[in-house]
Amino acid sequence: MIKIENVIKNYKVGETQVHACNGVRLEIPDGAFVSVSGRSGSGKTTLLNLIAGKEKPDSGKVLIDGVDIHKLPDKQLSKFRNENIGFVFQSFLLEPSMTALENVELPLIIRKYSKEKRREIAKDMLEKVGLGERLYHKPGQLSGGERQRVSIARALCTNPKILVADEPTGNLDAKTGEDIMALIRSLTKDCTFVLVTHDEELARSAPIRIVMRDGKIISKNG
Amino acid sequence: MVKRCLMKLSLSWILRHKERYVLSWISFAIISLFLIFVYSLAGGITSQVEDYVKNDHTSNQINIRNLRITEEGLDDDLNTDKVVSLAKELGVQGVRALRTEEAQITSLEGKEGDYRKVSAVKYYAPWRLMLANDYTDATSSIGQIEGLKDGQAIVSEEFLRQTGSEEKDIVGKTIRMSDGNEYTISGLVKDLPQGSFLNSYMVFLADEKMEDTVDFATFDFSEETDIKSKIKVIEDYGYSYSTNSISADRMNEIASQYSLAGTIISVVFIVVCMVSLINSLLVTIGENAAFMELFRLLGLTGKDYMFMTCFTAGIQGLIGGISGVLLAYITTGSLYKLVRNLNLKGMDIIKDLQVTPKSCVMTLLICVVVSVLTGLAAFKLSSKVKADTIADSELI
Repeated sequence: MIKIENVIKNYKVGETQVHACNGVRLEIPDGAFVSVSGRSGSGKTTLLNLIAGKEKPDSGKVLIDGVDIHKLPDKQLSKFRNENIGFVFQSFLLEPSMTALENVELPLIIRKYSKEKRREIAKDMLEKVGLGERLYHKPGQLSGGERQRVSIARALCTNPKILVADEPTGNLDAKTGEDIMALIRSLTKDCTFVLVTHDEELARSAPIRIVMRDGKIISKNG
Repeated sequence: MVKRCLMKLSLSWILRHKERYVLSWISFAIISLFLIFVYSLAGGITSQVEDYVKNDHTSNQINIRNLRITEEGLDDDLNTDKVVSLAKELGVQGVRALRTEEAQITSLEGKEGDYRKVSAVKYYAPWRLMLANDYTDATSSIGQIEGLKDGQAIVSEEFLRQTGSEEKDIVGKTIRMSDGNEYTISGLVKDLPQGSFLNSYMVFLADEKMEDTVDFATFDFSEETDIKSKIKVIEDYGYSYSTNSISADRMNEIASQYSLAGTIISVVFIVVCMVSLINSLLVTIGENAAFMELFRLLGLTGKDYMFMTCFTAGIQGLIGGISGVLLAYITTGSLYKLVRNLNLKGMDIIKDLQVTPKSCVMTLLICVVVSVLTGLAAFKLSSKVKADTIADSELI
């Protein structure tokens, strides 16, 4: 379970104090599909970053399975993320000099799996996302949808408990976006899926829907 | 495994942004070239000093100079007792003289009568002779010496008469020297105390080129000793001195000064290199911040990130350093032309300028260390770079 307890996160932009998260409280049960939506600057990405341990809250706690992730030392936090959280971004963040297979292998390298084992897992994941024939293609040789599939394979190859996705269909056309979402849903049946989007339709597809404004949760369905 | 992957990624990024690093490579190549030049120059000078000491002189030798000859004559008495006393205080068993090749005796002939009966000419070691010269009008101030009025006159020691000649009286005999000159023995000087000898420089040839001040004794320390403390004793005795050790020290000092000047200039160059590299690194880090941030989210630790930055920087230093070494090998000849006329006391201090493997290794080491430290600084400076730049990322 992800439990967010009265989290406050402020930024200073010039002389202005921006309240990105202003006393957010939230509980996300295991295996849930949660969408976080809101306008630009509403704090949804900050919330995602706090859940991912990318940013530290000014106050409050983020507990994942009872572990206050922001109190973990750097090394342990990195290990925790590697073992528990997968990430998908709007921009696919693939290393252009590496093949699709090598890109997917990255988190497994960090996990120190043997070459054979990580290659097997990565191949398996790429086949699951429909890229079994394009293992050795570099990102530049893939379409937008295929690139996102690679990034999904990379996020899920470690079998994470939580998948966080920040506008995963933002750079894709509607049809491809739908396919990608369908793919993510089919592959994340057993894990918690936190989706940040400002696509209302996409947000509505989540059983639990959170809407943010000015750093606060203004509504929560489900 | 992780480190290997990071190194591979770093190399890939370097290749992708090679045009950005060109300035850093050039900077490091220049600093490498300069460092090798400085090391080689200092090494050349040191080598010259060593040759100078080894081949020409003995570094632990002190020549005592106090016998100043002027138009009016000698300034100071030659007090042999004082010399022996000084020698004892210095821990020298005797005042040892140096042989001189300038005054080998080839024959002993008499101008008046047949003096070829004088046997054992070989015993007439030159340091046993004192020859008169134009400036020694007042030699009577040296009590034991008489008859040095004539430019072609010499004074022999009593020792010579006792052991080297069958003649009862060798005064008036003529000695022919290897330089073709002939000198008449015009007087005797009493033997010096046991274990002490007059220096070869006390063989006063009638030579107008004679220096105003001459060495009258040489203390040759058989082992390395603290020459400076010995000099202090000599000074306490009121003698002036010259020593090859001091010359060597001076030359070493000059070598050190060259090195110091080179080091100071190097530091300036290094700062320029660091600024250039840190700029390139920060731009690259900024551009790859998204990927690095993602990598961190995938489980990379801060230390891994630091390693990657330092590795990237280290490679820049290595590439620049290797370029500099190659450049050094190519340009050595031209550089030598610039410095070959450097000299010290008329002696060429640079006989050759050679790029040594040691200087290359040292230079490469410095380049890599400097660049890695720069990488470390870049890492610290970039710690504020967040994944906010994801949208601007060039990653696809």
